[in-house]
Amino acid sequence: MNDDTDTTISDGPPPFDNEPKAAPSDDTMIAAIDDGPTPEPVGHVDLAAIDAVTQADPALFENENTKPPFSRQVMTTPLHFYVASESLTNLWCHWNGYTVAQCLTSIEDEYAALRQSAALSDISPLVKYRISGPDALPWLRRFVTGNLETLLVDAIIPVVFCEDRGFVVGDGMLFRLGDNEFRLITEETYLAWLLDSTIGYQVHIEDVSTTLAAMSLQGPLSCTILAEAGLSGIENLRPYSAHWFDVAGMPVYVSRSGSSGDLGYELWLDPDDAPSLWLRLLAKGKPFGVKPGGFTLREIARVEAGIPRAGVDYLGVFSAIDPQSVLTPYELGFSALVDLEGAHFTGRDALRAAKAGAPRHILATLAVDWYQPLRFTAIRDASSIVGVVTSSVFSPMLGINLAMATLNPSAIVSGTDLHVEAEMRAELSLQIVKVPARIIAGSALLLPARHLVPAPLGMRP
Amino acid sequence: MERHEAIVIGGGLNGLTAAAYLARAGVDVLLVERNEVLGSAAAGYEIEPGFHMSRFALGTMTLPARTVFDLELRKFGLNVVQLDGGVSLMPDGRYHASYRDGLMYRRELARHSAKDADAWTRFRRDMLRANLSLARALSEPMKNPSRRSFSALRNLLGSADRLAAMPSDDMQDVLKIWTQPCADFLDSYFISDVLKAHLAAKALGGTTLGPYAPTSARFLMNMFKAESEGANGGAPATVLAIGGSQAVANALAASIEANGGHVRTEAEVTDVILRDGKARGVALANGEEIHAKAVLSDLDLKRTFLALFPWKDLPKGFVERVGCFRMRGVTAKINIALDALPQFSALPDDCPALAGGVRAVLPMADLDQAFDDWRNNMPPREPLVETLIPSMVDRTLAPHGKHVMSVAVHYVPETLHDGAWTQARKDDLADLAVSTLAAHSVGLKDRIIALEVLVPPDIENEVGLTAGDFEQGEMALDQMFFNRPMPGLAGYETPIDNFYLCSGSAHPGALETGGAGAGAARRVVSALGKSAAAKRGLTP
Amino acid sequence: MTQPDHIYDVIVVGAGHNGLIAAAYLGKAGRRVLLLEASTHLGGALTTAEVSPDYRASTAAHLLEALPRRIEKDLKLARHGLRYAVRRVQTIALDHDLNHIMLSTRRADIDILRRHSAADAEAYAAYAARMKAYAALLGPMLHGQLPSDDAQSVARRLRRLVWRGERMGPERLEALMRQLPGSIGDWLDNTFETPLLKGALALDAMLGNAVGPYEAGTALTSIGRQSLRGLSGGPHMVEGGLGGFIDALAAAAASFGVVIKAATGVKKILVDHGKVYGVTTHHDETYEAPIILSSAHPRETILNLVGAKHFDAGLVKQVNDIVDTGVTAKLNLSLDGLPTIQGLAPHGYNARFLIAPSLAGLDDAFTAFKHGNFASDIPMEVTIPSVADAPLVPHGQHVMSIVMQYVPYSAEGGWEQHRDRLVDRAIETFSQYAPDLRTRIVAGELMLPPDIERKFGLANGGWYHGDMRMDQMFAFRPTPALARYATPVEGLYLCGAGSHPGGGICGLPGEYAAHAALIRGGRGR
Repeated sequence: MNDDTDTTISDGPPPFDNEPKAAPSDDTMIAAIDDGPTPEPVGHVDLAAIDAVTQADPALFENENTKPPFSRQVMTTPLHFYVASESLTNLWCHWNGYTVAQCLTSIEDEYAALRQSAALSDISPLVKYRISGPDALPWLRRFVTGNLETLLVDAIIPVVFCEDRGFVVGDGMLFRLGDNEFRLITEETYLAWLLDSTIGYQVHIEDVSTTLAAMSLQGPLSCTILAEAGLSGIENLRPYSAHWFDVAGMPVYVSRSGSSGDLGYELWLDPDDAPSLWLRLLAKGKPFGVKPGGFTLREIARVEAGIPRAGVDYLGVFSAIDPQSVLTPYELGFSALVDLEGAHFTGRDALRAAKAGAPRHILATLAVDWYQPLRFTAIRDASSIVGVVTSSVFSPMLGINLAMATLNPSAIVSGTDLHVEAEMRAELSLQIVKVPARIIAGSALLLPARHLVPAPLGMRP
Repeated sequence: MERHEAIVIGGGLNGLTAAAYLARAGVDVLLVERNEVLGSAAAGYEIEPGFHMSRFALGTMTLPARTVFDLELRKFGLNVVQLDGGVSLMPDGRYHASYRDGLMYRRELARHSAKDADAWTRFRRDMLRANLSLARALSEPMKNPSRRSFSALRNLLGSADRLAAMPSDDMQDVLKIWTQPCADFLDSYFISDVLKAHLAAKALGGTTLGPYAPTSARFLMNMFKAESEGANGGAPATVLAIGGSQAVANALAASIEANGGHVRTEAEVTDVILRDGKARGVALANGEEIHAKAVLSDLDLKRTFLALFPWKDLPKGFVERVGCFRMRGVTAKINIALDALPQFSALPDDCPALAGGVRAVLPMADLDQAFDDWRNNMPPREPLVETLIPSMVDRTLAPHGKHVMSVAVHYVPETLHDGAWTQARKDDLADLAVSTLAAHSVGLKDRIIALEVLVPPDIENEVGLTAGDFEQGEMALDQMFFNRPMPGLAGYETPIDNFYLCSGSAHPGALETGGAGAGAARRVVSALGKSAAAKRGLTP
Repeated sequence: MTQPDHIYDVIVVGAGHNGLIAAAYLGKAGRRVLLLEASTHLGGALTTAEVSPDYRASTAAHLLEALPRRIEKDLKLARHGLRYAVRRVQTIALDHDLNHIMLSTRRADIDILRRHSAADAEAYAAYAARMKAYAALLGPMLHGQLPSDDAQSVARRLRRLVWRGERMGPERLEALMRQLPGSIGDWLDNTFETPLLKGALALDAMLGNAVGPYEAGTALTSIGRQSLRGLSGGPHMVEGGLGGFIDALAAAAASFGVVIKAATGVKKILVDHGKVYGVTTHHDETYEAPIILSSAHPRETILNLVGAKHFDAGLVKQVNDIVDTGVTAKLNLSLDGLPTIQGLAPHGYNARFLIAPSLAGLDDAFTAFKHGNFASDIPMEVTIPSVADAPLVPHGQHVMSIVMQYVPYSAEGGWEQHRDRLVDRAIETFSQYAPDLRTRIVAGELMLPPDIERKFGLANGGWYHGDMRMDQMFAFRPTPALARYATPVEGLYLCGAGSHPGGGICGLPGEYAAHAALIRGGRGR
């Protein structure tokens, strides 16, 4: 109500105590977690407040201390100040309610660093859920469509989750931090669905987005730079696995993951430590040509890698007003993430039917062969509009335009003559051009280094 | 003798809308209004010299954007602004503010509950979906299922097929929103009692149902109109017409006259002239008779048939059926002139949502108690109070620095179980409402320059709404759609040939302001055999 | 390894009347059926027990008013001991001025009604006829078998409804259109003027439902009840109380080879690869069968017996959100003689008495109920079963069975401090018509909604495994995915009152579920 003072001055006790609190009295929720291997600073702040009020309902809390929603404030990540100091362009954009850099230097330079050396980005705005409790694994088995048998501790898998009718609610990356502790990283928030689906399980879910900072180092030299920064043995980290490293006294959870289609790592750590790790990686990486990257770089890389983004390339079933706009995992190209034979999961029966039936839409990546960036309007075949473009980028590496598009199934019949309408604008003149387009099976750009173990190390420029 | 193609009796928003659509279709139409000013319940007045406000209605703008566009009301001086959706204050001092912006609103919701901030997405989706299917139903003329005609039957069988084709989950979603109690429905989405109290108050204010009554959930979707749709998934907005609702009436009148129609005020219709059982015109209180091929009534069903006709001219049993039409007042209006803007201590300074109105809301059980008090013909012991200070946005309404506050007190009965509404009891009600607000706004009472209380009987006397019912007939399921105003009369026609009902007593009633007027106009244009080109001037 | 005598074709969980009926139909079809019941007695809330030593009465529900004749015949219940103490029990609305109204269309009864109002006497026959027509129109939808879950079958059913509705003629159809979505209170207000008649008809329509007489949906409820009575022939009083009915059902089931094990509660229904294969009991015994029917509350079945992990998350939430509201309490009184109901003919004592002097009174009682109170005049349905069924009590003695409507699950400050006051109010309410009641009472027992919950496992003391609301009926009961008895788990069926057509001792969920299991479950031996 009154605490609007600047909290960065830390003489007195901080307004929120970030030390893990003693486990709440309801030991079924938290038991078996505290002996995990890590001092991970997870967000017990909300939990403690909640438990006092509502006996462990993690969602109900009144936090009258926050500034009113209309107050003039920039919502920033823990790294904002340090990212901002790298900005030569002063270009900003919005990601999940946070102000993040759109582009820090120039997109060409950032992209060159990503593909030739490495690019470091702040990915703290991603939504992070901590899932724990004795039933965490069985609950997750029912929650996501995939098979979790291979998900050992410190492994990561991409997951997609559906509602009863088999339509996609969202997708994300699932980390296993311990026997009964998991972390789900998503693009959008799904807390209501997560909590609603816990009925009948002893599982505890909390949003730890604000208590966990994250940065992403992607590119062929990313392993080299991390090794240089003191993460010894990093080269042995296998793709889609993670490990705790001590970096100059900071515990950092490092996963070999990312959305660039190349070798890359994501680093998860306490927000208080994040700035010094950021600075350290930039300093150690400088001789190798590392560059800080902005949001646009992430978008280009993910479209090149063929990764759809929730809320942009598809709408989750709970946000789509038109029932026709919702998609199944098959329609989204997530077939590999669906295991119809294993344990029951939400939407399995519907997906069995969906798999047998014909898709209504298909999300695909289109290559549009044109040497300049284009603005797309409609996708047509010989006679009619057959799809909508949801994301489009110009790939500097491939030298063509790439678009993620939702297409009618008829559009992918081989031999269909697809083309994209694009507007070419030069000052006051506007031209609508038709450019041939072709569907790319899989990703437009996947680089072999992402699979190599040990990861390529020591390739000096 | 004066002669027109069509006469509209009554200058409420439905009557004005009907006349405006008729005029646009090239019908020579005359609208007659008993009072000096147009607008009926939307009429404005000066409570004190220099303090202008809507006298009966709260004063928000409810006319659909489509009507504003069709009738070119912007051209005729209407200026509409969209504001944040207002603030709800709980008796314990907690508050909830409605922001149009989705990101801001998410932060506001997260202040109550992180889960609810996320559940809002789904709630909003379900409300918009329900509204879309309702809008689809409203866009078609309502047919009488009981009339033995091939087309009516085909219509019914068609809807049976459409219903059957729906997945049963979707069908249950429809059933849930149309039949569940508001409180249960909200419980299935949200956990924050402040948010639920806010939504229930916003949905149920002015209705004849309480939060635990079956079929009260459906009022939640009425908030999600296209006109009030927030940006990127925010809360529904409050829409305000500059100059108040009187400005809306004036713009409609200007539209009528610009299209060759006529508007006459201070002309009270005493009788509908009948010849051979057909309406031929109207007789005015001054003895004048005006003839027309079609007569439309913007009066409510009871007033239309019980006052404008000798009962013997109506079909047998009809008067009894009219008598069964439920009309009950639920809202009292308090108009206040203030010498300064009230401050609300619970709210952060400069809260932008304030302009959209302030509600003193109640926890669910207390809201239900207020509803039960109303059913028992008692003034509410703890009232649900809704206010709007339009002068915060519209500076022309009050002298500089001063304000007008429009206050609606909901669940106020038309009759009291223990006597009549005396001035003393009206003052008690006003005092209760003002005290409820003053609990959140210290010094409010001292800022009042002038105050007027209008309880439902006053509204009946001044405006002519039977029982003071703003909805011109309860919007209960048995009085909606093809049952409005009664089964067999769904198409704006009445048992009297050439006589049509265009008031809120007809479909779609309070679901859409002006909807009945537009629908009746369409019906009359086709009855008058206007050319297809003229009909095209009407909304489909 | 499971012992051979632990392997069956079908296991039915829970021996309430629906479980017994389902088991009996399955046994009749030649299946080897095992019926497991946790309690030592069968029948759940339908049971006859001692009110006080030597005085016996139906503990909770006390009349059999919705059991279709078809089930009675199919299961040969008469042969297995079902006897009626009174068939077609008369319904009498007690009047303060002693002009008790008999709810019937017989001329003598209409004449009594005429003493209240000539207009009502005229209107009553038309009302009854109209009610009958509506029941005939909507009955098949309200408690017939559901059409199969494809658009064509549903469309055919709806189209038939439209045709038959049109055939009623515009006047009746218009009245139905107006009344169906509305309240019984408004309907009665528009039809009659006698407060007692309106009050009694409304109570008759709503008894057991947690709704007020002026709430939307009550007209539909009342039509539904009317049409169920049409199937059963009216409310009947069973010899030996409703326990007698259960005994007959159990005997019938046993005669079809059903093995009934009481005091054998099911702990888990066993599922493997999406198929049921058996149950484990609280004694840790395992019984195997490829088909399992559960007559437990859907929430109990899905969440506890089977487990949420076998179902989709949305379905689990829907099942979890099923609303149960307790609204009735039961008071049984042991009497040392027959109380004198003033103005009642001697042959009238075996009737059911309704006490609901007016709609306004009912509505007040409902308002009190909503706010956690009970009215001073409690709406009630009263029978004196010992009048027609003397063996229930010692010679010359009687028992009175009172169902009180609008008694909340929780009372402010806890029930303990209100229990005696409620009993006192109930006795006082009936004493207005039978002043000597109080002097005749030798003992009594009160079953409040929490008692009913504790004793019979009915959530919140609601009798129906989910309130009979419009969004919890038809193909939406208990949820769309579970509505046709079969569940997403292969071989698992729901056969309790939580399924269509719902509660009210009609046995139809049991019968329909048995049919569904027979059709989908293939053949037995």
